[in-house]
Amino acid sequence: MNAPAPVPAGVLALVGEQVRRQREVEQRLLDHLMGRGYQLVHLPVLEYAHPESNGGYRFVDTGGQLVGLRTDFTPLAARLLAPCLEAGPLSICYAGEVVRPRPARLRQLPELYQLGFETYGLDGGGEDALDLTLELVALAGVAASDCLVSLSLAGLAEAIVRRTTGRPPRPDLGELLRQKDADVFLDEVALPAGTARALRAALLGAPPSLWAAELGVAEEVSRLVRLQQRLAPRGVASAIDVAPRLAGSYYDGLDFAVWGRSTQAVLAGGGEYRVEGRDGSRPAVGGCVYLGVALEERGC
Amino acid sequence: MLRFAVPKGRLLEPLVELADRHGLALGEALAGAGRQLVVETAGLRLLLLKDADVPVYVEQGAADCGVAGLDQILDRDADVLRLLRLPFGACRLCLIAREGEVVREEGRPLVLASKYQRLAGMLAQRRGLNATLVPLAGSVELAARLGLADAVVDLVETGRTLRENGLQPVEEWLAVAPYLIAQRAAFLWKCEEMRALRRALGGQE
Repeated sequence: MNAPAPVPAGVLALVGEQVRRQREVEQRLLDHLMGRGYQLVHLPVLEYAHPESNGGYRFVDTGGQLVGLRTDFTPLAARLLAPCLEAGPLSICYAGEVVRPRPARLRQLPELYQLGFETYGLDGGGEDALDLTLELVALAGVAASDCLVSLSLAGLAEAIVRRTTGRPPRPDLGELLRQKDADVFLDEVALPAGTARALRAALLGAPPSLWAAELGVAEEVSRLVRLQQRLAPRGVASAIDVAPRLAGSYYDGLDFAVWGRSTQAVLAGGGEYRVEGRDGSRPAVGGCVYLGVALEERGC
Repeated sequence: MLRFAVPKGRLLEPLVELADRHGLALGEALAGAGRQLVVETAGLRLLLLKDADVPVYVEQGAADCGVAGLDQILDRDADVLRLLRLPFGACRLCLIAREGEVVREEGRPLVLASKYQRLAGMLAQRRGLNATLVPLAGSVELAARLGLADAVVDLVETGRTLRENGLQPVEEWLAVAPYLIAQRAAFLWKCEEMRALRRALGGQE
């Protein structure tokens, strides 16, 4: 028998029980979403190269056009479906592979199986999207006690820079906050002692009562605190991250990620954003589960 | 238990001194370790690593946190949190040339030698320099002295080695200090323990 054909590094062919288990979970999750009124859509693997798909595989097609493999369903669906929206909200769900050539973790494959949902034309709704995402995570077999939800709001780090310095946010200062580097931030920006202490507390995950008012973001952060209060009785740990690194760049409101205890990886996420519809910009909200990571988390 | 990556190189001694001063008895634990690379003490599992490997172990979650120089963090392009800048080991990453020489492109790319291939390349590009990088493992000063490269990019602490080899720092490219770093997920899951370790290394809250 010939040896199997070689494949690019980090790519695998799956057979047997692993495939059966993934298909079974996928169907369970899609049935749940369709039962909640989400319409299943099939989206293309290829689209013309787009700035948001930076970091994905790109190549020139036979017509000389630059095309890219999909890296994330949320912006892809928004580009393809939102411009056709009628007046009312539209709720969709999807499942399939996305390809990210530089996985965040060593043993993670470039192909990620993303299963999720989006609703276009609904204002707010991030709380419901988080609830639904956690339902999907539970249906995938991951226990609530093995999940930690990090909560943030898009632009919170920039708001902190603006309100503590009184100046427009500089990208490098936002980056320092994302790295939690309070020391260099405070070298760059002289802050009163109380504000500096509050900034350190915010970056180090201290309770918001110790920093939110001093940093001028109490109103925004109160939404995150209410969400934490909703999650606690369900046994789901949570943390407020004022400057997350992994957020999708398209989120403009609530932004959440679900981290697995044993994988130490993001197994689900979502948030609020805007899409360009036929008659202008409209609110949208969504969430997704990375099925392979979720199955790894439950030990499959 | 926090898995704490400890660098075995030039940062070890001042780190142990700092920790011991704040009541975290690393010195005692390490003195009894012999050739062991994993040592447990006071709620910490100490992982003894080469300095350059600390950011990799932490980024990938094989360690929850560790101590690494900013030079190593940036050269490894490690996505880690920088929880505390430590009060020792500060130095400068400099462009270094032979005494009296001016570093210029003069119609051809500059040849720069460095242990920090990614970081030196990035900083050269940020300065608009068209540079070819020669990766070297050590004693990079020789590369400038013997003409292998037009200049070298390396750490300067006191400048004594440079002077003794007829070299001088031409430009400071980066202020370097060691940091207590943490893996993103580990920081979320073990936030209280990380904050306690940070306090034990002299960090204010």
